[in-house]
Amino acid sequence: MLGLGLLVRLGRQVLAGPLADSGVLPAGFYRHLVLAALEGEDFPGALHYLHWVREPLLAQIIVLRLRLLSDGHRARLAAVQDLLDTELSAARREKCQALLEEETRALELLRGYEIQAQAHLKKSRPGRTGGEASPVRSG
Amino acid sequence: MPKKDLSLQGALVGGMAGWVAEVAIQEITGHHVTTGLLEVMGAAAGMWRLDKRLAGLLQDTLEKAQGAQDQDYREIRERIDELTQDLPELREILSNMVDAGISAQQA
Repeated sequence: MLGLGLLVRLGRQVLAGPLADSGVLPAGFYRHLVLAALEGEDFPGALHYLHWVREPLLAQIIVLRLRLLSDGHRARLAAVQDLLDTELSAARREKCQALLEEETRALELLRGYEIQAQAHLKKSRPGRTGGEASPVRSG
Repeated sequence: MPKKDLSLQGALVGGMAGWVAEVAIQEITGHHVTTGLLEVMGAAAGMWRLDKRLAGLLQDTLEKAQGAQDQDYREIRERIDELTQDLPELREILSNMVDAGISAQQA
């Protein structure tokens, strides 16, 4: 039984590694990998396997989750900007500036992921809306 | 909840896993003891599990939309509507989930 367990684990590692990257496995397996990546908030991983799933709903979930995350970062960015407008000591101003840069970087990263997810969405159902950036999410 | 409640792909994967388990048991014990039962159980479990995960992910997304503030369902619905203007399928599913929440709150 122990040998069987090891064999199954080895099989899963091979399937999740180089074999999965070759794109030859069934779409259901990639769907499982996308779900697993999303459960771990691993957006690059989810986007990587989404290519082989072609299920618009999963791409839409990724887009929405990225927008929700971006909303949080945008709120923090605004709060830090408000703080910078007040009287602050040099050390605190420096810390706020670093935080501002981090939040800006995070927003850019999330925006990049959203563009990739929307490209997948466009590919999975050409001729329908959903590939364009949301009119409410610019900035 | 998503419209699609069952997953054929999940059933196939589960059925295959059941078959592998049955062959393994047969090899180890030397007897054909489960006579197809594991394939059926695997298929049923696979069919249910993948969509349970998807439903869980949708529920989690809804909770994230609720945010840290204690928003009620109508506020969550407005936020989801705003964020999913270009995501029609997801918008419909989440709207149904929010409607179910509103109904439960009113009951």
